[in-house]
Amino acid sequence: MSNKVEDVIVKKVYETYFPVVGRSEPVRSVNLMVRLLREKFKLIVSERIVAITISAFLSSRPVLYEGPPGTGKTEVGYAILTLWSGKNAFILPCSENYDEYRVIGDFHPLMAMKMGFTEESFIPRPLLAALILDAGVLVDEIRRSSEEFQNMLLDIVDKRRIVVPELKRIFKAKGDGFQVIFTSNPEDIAQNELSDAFLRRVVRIKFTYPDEDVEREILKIRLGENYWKLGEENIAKMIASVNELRERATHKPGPADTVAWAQIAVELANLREKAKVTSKEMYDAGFSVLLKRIEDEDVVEDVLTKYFGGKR
Amino acid sequence: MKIVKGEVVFTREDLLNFLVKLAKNLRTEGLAVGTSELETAIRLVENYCALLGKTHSGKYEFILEYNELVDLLKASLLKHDRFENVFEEIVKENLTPYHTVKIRVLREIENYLKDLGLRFGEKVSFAKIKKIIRKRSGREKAFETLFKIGVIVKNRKYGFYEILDEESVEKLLNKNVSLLRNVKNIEELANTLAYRKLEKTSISKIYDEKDFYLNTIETAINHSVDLSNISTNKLVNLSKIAYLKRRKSLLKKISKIIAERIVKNTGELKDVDEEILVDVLEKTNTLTPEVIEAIVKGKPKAAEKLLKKHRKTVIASIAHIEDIETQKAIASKALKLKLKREDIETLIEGLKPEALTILEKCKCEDLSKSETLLIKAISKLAKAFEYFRRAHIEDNKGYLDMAYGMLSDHNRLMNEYAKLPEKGKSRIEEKIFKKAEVLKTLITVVTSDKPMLPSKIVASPTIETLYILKELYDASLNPKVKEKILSVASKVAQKLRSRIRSTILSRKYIKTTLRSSNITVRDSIYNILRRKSSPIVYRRRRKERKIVLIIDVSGSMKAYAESAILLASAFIKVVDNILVFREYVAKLDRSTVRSPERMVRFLFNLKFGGWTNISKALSEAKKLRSKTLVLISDLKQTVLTENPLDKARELLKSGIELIVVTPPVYDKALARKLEFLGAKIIHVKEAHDLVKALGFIL
Repeated sequence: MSNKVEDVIVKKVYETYFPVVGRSEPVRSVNLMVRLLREKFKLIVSERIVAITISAFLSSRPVLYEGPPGTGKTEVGYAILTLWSGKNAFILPCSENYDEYRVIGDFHPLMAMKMGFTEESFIPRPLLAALILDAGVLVDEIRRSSEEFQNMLLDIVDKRRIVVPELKRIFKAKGDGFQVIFTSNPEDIAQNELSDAFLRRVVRIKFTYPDEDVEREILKIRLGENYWKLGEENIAKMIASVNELRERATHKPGPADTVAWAQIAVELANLREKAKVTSKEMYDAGFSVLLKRIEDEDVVEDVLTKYFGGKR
Repeated sequence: MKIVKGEVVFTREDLLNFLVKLAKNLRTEGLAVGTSELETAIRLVENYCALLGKTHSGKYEFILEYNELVDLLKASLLKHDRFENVFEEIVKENLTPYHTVKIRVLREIENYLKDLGLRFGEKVSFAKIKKIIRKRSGREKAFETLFKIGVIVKNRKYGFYEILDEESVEKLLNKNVSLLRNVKNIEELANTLAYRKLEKTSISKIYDEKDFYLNTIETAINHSVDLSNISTNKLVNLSKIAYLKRRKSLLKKISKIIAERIVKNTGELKDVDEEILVDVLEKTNTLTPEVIEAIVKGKPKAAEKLLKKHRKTVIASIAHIEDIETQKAIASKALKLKLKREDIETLIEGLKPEALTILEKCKCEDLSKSETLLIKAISKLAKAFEYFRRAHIEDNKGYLDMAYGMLSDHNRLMNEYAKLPEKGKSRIEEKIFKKAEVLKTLITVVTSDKPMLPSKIVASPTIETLYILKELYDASLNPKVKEKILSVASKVAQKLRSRIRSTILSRKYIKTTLRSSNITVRDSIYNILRRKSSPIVYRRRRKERKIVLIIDVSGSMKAYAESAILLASAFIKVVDNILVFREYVAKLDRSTVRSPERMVRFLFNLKFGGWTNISKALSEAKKLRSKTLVLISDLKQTVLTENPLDKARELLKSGIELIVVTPPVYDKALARKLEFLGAKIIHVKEAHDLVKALGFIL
């Protein structure tokens, strides 16, 4: 009987989520993963981060990525999970009112009225889907969720199974593709502190702003041909100004911002039909990308003027 | 983060031990670390190593870079950024990368053995090794390194080299783990170990392995290693071997070191074989006037050898010799040679008045007739003084007759001199007259009824003043004069004593002006409530610690012992008892030490010399039940009854504090052993420094 019943939910999951997940060969080697991250996802991740993450997976511990915004936590996490399980990872962007019904599954109200809490009226949600499909889950900004939710997640990750009491069913993970990465930004004051109990169970990896060479490499990968359009001089100035802003401004630009800035500058130059990006484009693009908060206006202007000249 | 270079190698057990220790330390710093986290850490490290192939097939399972391991530990144990610095520090404290070096050294040993075509636990004959080494260049170095470490052991008796098995090699390395921390590579380890071997071996064994020890000392000198643990005698022998082996540059280096040492401290010469020493120094042209002076001072026997080639300097340095008999001995050897005028001049100037007797042997042809006469006359005068002295010391009236005979001889010669036609005095004559004056005053002091003391002596006394007074006291025959000298000496001692006390004690105690702070409030209130007549209770002064001074009065300790006794008498409040020992032990009672007169009398009548019996002194001191013992001695036990170490151990075990004050020349081995047992050792360079040392203790 159970076989038949299981089919219903598994079928539902496959129907709904399989097209999203896709399938490729899982990657288990660190070197290969670093290479694929670079080639496929255009991410530069140090071998050590990859190795520690994978070792944590092998030790069946969830991983917590902590660091300032824009350092690529989410992207790296997603990419590693995807490569690890060979399936596109699920992303759970957390918020205050997230609960198990939003992540495991809930019941269609009308069908439940009609048939009660049965497999037919059950709608599987990403976490359960990931468990069944053996895919990775990235829980983004874990600090935004309630402690209750965090503990529930930990329980699931620890025991690698999901209990749905309404159906009197236990779903167990079959392979080791089901892994969880949390991301969090400790500098964001508006969010909750993570509990000690939570921290004790995770392997914590700290993300920092990349150093100059790495950032240049990131730009090179992300921009492709456009990199040469920017010119080495502009890029050096860009990195210097971004580093200065990281120290002075309230909104600290991450490498993602740098990339966006460069891309917009290139597009602007294209629009203005210039063969090369000049400091004017850099200035204009920089002002729109880097200025995220009104109180930073002076600082951003100051820094941009310092590196790319005044408004012309 | 500071990246510490080097890898960390560990087994699973090492990791577990390390983590448990780390967790304990982290917890004391306020970082909560649970057992589950430790488990995570271990699993993480294991998986990480497996993943990246950072495992070693042998006994050591994991090899990680230091900062890699730190990152892993951070990932699993560190949950808050604010603890990052503390965490890093604690990890650094707990994790020393010496494991790594050990493994590296082990592997290198393996490589070297492979290179030599040898195996662990093998026994190879001398001839075969020689063949192996000759086969390829570079093998010699490998062999030497292994031999230095002790992986290859020479078996002289049966004529083969034995290579240790793997287990013993590891044991060997474990024994020297503390060394591994400071050592960068296998060569350095080999050199250090070889140097240690050199420090420990006896001189006769050096001759068994000549090349080995020569190489060792050469590398040590090239790396400017501190050579202070190698005795001068060993160095001298090494230099001899270097000469035999014709290693000129090394010979030069060693002899330079020897010369430096000798000049710095003549005491170093005590145990040195003088023939080899002079030989070596001569061959390397290191015999500068300073060196010669030092040799003559510290090793009179060697001076005789030097006389032939370095007559001038030797004669000039006679003046620096303290002991009269040695002065005489060297001078007599010198006089056997053909001396020139100026040599005689320096000799007369350098010799002490008492040693002038030796001049009767003077047979110089350059001298004028008047000069020869005068020289004879003064030798008679000196002889006369000598006899007076002996008459006193040996209490033998017979000598007095001889002395007076000598005096009359002297007078006769002087008369003869006066009859000679006057030409004006030569330099030699002037010098002789000066010495004669000194001798005459000495003789008058010895024989006269009234002491003639230089006035400045009493005005500003120093410890030396006391020595001079003692000499006078010894020299004088008349008991009245003796009494007089004693009374002067006691005054001097009184002055010295008060000065010493004031200089040292003034810094020791701080006077409190706030009297209320000394009130014991609780008892005072209690007394007020009981309506006692004088209710306020003041805090009592804590009882000062009482010490027992044990002073060695064997011959070698003369200068120190005298000052020590004098000093001790200044601290009579603190010093409980004074024990004076040589082959027997004498206890000074408090009344003796307290009164300057009695103290001086004791001091002046004290005879230095004889044997040393430290163990007896210690056992005697134990009976006095004092908490602190201060032993002033050169630690050279010459009476072999009991091991002084046993006694010292017994004392220290029973909770008694033992402080040992030593002069510059002392038995280093015993001192080190005593220090190991828990005694405190203080080195004193000169007798004056004793004031400071004792002040520090008291």
